[in-house]
Amino acid sequence: MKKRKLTSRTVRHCLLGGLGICIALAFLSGFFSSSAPDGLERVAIDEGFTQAAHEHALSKSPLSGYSSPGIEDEKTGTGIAGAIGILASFAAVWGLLRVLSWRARPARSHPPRLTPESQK
Amino acid sequence: MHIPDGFLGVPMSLGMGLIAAGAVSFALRQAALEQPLPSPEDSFEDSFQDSSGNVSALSSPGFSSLAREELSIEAGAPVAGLLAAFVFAAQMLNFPVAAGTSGHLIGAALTAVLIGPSLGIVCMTIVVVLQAFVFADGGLTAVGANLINLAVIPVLASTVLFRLLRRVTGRSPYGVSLAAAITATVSVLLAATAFFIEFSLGGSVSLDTASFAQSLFGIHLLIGLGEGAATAAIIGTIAKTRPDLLGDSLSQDCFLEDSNRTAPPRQMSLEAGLFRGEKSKGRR
Repeated sequence: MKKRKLTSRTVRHCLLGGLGICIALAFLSGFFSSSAPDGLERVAIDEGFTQAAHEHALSKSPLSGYSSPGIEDEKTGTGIAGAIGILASFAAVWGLLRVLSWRARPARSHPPRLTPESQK
Repeated sequence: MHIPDGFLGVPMSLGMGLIAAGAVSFALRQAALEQPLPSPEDSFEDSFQDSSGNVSALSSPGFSSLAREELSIEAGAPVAGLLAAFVFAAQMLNFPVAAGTSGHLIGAALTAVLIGPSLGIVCMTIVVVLQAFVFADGGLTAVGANLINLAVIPVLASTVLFRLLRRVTGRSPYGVSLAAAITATVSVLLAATAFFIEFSLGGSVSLDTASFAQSLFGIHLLIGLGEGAATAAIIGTIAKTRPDLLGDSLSQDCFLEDSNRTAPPRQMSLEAGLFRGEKSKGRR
């Protein structure tokens, strides 16, 4: 099995590269993403219950519908909104897990111990 | 893919909200217990000593040798974050599936395979909540149902299904890709099934069941095949280049095993950090 040492530096490079790819995908989606109704919308149209959908309560918010305020070009706006969402997802998950692991720490901060089951 | 406000009635929205809240908080708790601890006192030697004294732990093949040499602290949480970022990006890309219809990936099967069920649910939850509350994609009242359909059900189902399938398909890159493809396709169909049940029981409109089912599952089968192809491509690439990331002891069925709160911190490799939950079996 090929092994590559994962130092914190390579981890950092992987993360930056990965986030770069994701942001590139977001900008690509501005250009290539299909604007046709998605699976659920299509079913709603075919079955005639589109009118049941209410307008989203936050549809006036700045990033609603993956658009950016003050950006003339719609495709670029989608890319920028996507990049914000990508960085926000990354930061939210990382931050949340860090906080959770700090909170869980006292239960596990003592040195590992052998349990009776493990000695069998 | 995201249910807007108004499709589901109030009782169903509330009920799904409650179930989702319960499921997500359970996943958060599990994820917290699985997190590798980047604290100085959890030194490398500690975990090594423990395992050398613990003979039964070493009996699981390929388990102990891997992580010894690769010391990468704190990798679990950033990798989960990166996956969430990828899921967010992937859900923006709508690909055409039929005339006048598009679909986007869910990504639940990918996260389940790569980081396990609890971290997977956490990732998907963050993405779905961000989409609903910042990007107005998916209704605010429907956020519970969307979490059930896009985060909880497909991640849990993918975890179980992938492990079962991998026993059949084997561990070659092609076998793993095939298992991932089937898993991802089924996960989309299960998400559609969940919506079908929610809408049939608590939708704001009552429909002819047969034609509703035909329309819903027909389209989502196509979307599922897209999801299967994309997931298989990604998992297949990882299986070829970094098979260690897919976890050597994944075939041990430890999914339902309780995570042990007093379990000591263990290896700090990327792989061990990601698959801690599954690996706890041999070491209890």
